[in-house]
Amino acid sequence: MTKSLAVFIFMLLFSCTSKKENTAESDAKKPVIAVVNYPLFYFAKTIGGDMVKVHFPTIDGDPAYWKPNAKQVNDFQNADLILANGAGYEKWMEKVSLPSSKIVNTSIGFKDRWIEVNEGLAHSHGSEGKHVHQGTAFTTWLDFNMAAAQATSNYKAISGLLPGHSEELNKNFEHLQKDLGDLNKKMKEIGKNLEGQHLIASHPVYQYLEKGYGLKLTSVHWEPNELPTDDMWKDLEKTIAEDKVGIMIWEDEPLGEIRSKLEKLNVLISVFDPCANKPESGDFIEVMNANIERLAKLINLQ
Amino acid sequence: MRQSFYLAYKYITFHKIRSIVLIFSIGIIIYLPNGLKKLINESEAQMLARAKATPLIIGAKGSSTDLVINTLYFQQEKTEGISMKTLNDVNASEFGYAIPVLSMFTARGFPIVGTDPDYFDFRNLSLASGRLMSFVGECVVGSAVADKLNIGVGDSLVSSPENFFDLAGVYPLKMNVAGVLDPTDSPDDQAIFVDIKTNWVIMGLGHGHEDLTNNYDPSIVLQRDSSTVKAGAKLYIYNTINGENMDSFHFHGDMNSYPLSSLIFIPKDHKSATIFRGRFESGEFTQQIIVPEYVVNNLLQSIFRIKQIFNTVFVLVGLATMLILALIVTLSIRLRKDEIYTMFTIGSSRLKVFEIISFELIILIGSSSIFAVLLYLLTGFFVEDFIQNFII
Amino acid sequence: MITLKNISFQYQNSDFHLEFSELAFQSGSKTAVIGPSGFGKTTLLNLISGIYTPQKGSVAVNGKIVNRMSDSERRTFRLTNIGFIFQDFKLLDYLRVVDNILLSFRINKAMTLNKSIRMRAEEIASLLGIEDKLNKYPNKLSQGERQRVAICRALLNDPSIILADEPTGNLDPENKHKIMHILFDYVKDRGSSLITVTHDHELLQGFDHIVDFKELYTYS
Repeated sequence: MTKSLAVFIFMLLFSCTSKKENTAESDAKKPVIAVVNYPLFYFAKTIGGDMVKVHFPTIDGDPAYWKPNAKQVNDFQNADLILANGAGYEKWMEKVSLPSSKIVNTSIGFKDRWIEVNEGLAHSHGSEGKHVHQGTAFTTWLDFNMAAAQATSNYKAISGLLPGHSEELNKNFEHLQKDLGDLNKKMKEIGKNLEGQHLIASHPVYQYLEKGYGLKLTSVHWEPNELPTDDMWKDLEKTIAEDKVGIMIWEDEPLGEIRSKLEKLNVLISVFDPCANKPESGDFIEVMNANIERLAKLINLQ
Repeated sequence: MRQSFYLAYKYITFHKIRSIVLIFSIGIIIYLPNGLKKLINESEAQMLARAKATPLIIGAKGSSTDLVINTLYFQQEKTEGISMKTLNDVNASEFGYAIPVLSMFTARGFPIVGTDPDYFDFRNLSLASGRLMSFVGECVVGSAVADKLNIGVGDSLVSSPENFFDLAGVYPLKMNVAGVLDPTDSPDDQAIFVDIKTNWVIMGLGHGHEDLTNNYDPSIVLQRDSSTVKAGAKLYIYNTINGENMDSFHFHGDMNSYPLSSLIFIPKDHKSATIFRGRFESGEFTQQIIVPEYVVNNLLQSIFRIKQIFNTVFVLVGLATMLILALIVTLSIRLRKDEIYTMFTIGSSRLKVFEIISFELIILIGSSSIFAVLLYLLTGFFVEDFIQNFII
Repeated sequence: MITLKNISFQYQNSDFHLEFSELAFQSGSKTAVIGPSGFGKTTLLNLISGIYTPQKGSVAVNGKIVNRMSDSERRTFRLTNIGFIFQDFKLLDYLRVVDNILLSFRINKAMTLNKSIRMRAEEIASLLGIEDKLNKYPNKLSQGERQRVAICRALLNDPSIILADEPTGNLDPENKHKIMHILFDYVKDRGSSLITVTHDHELLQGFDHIVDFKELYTYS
């Protein structure tokens, strides 16, 4: 009797400790995926679920202009997979040392659809020829078709890391694809409704949204929390008059003063958060749905 | 016995210089064949081990030996390079992964090796101090580099403007030492590792300079229109990359066309390796893919044909050693005829004299052997140098 | 009593030939052997000590025939009965004075080097006035001192026969007489025999007998 009790207690203890060890071990064994922006974080987390650890550093401001420190670079160096947005998004990667074999450029599959923009001046010096610091628009995920392609690239890379989990990964991926497909459908509807209308964007970040859904956008460089100068207002009024603009898209809610002045000019404000960084509430799909709903509401108002 | 040993010992220690010369020369005669043999065998083993630890190498078509030597030993032979595009294509193939290698510059006599952090994992290189390079412009030095140049984390190294390729635009770059590697007794101890992009900066493919958009100094900005600024040679190109000017560093043109010396390819498994090599044979890839082990084996076979000559030499040297020893014994007996006679007069036997002389020989040969063993043990430290100087 | 009878001796590969019918030395006597160089005076000492054995004839010491002994018997005989002294001292330059004196104990299994032997060595050394030179090497000593060391080595076994080959040949007149006094005193004290080969006619006075090799040949 005592013997069997001892065995029972021993087994109980043993099972407890081994279980603990297992959890710790599996946590340590989980592949680490480092990502450069929130959309990719969301895709990786949705597809990989608890099977992966997704590392998205805390970044103050737009992740596109992030400047990592040595420790943060080291976190990326140690990841099993580095998901890059591509299209010139992560300029910081040009200046750091990362294992090329672990970097997956999620937008390389539709490189032909990248939108080129001119930034700064071409210059030449010394014996070198002329060169220009040309750039590419990089908020690719605002075309939900492209977002879906990025998610696919994401899915393939994660599948490579977790060869034994295809069923689960597949399920998660399908779910994500459905969500992105829904967004695409809704946004297409809005594009149709806005056909022929001119819109103004507070910043040149909506190139893929514009092209993907047939919008006509003129971008300015206005900050939501900074009052524009008189000259800026003058230029804007000119554009509004010339293009008969009724809607201005903002990355964030602008100052009340700006809102009221725009309303006086009969321009409605729609906040369309590109969601490059982690939102304060909700997730990628929710934020995008809210963006679309706000825009839809305005169209109905018009 | 003890008394004979005592007399022998006394004789040897009294004739110090004579004994030391004898011990050294016999020691060297014993050591030479064995030491050379060890040097050759260990070089062979070390070269094969490094080759075996490197599954496949991809590079431009041409001499496969040069390609292997450049990739494994960072010897800057004049080989054709490949482009960054090959790395991307190879990595996209999903048969494994590739590590870039670009070795064409030196700093204070040591090769600068452009690669990426995968290299350190692949070779199991651990850090003695500091960290891996995080940014362009940083370097991680091998243990021998750190020792010989007496540098450590926080110091800096300037790349040498001379290079094997006679490139016109070589920009000496002051690199900050971010880490020092643990010794590995391999060519990695003798290398300065940088990110591949740092190498491109030295080549002038990337650079940092002040912002020209708002610069109106006529001696710097020669011409300006709505989209172009032309700057004169007076424009200061930063020769070091640090936190202050990091933002201004940029690369020009399509990075896919940037050069690499070669790629180390690590296939997922044997099957992947076979299929992947097939892609090169079928012409899908225009570069060559080689198994370093085969190339090094071939190289060693042709070099170590000399080994047979060595073996003959060793036999002759051994024979000569015996003859010299016999001569030494005969001469010493003749020289000590008087002494031996004295011993006879006071009751010594021939056997006793033989015993004393034998002990002298034993002490001499024993000491010579110890000396030879010491040399032999030291030989291990020179295998790397031997490979670098005599084999490749 | 040492008796050599009908001796015929020849070195291998040499023309030298020593031949005589009889030569005898009384126990306890001091004999000087004189004669021109090359007549075989040193050979005589080697025959008496058993280092060489004659092709013909017999060498008898106290009734024992030395040339019929085995090699090892002759060695033991030499070791226990004979003390050798040479003109050029024959010291081993790589041994300190003390080790030179003790040499016979280091090259013979039959002899045990113990404390009493060491004490005896010191005793004889002090008798000969070289007690402060024991730890020096021979090359640091004067000629006279070296010969004293050689005598110490010869006397350590308390030999009944002392064979001296030109013992004063390399010494100045003062040392010459001192050394001979030491030897004469020893022989007198112990009743040993002394056979000395010499060219020095000044020394002949102290000897009991003189054997002239020239006459020996004449007689033979």
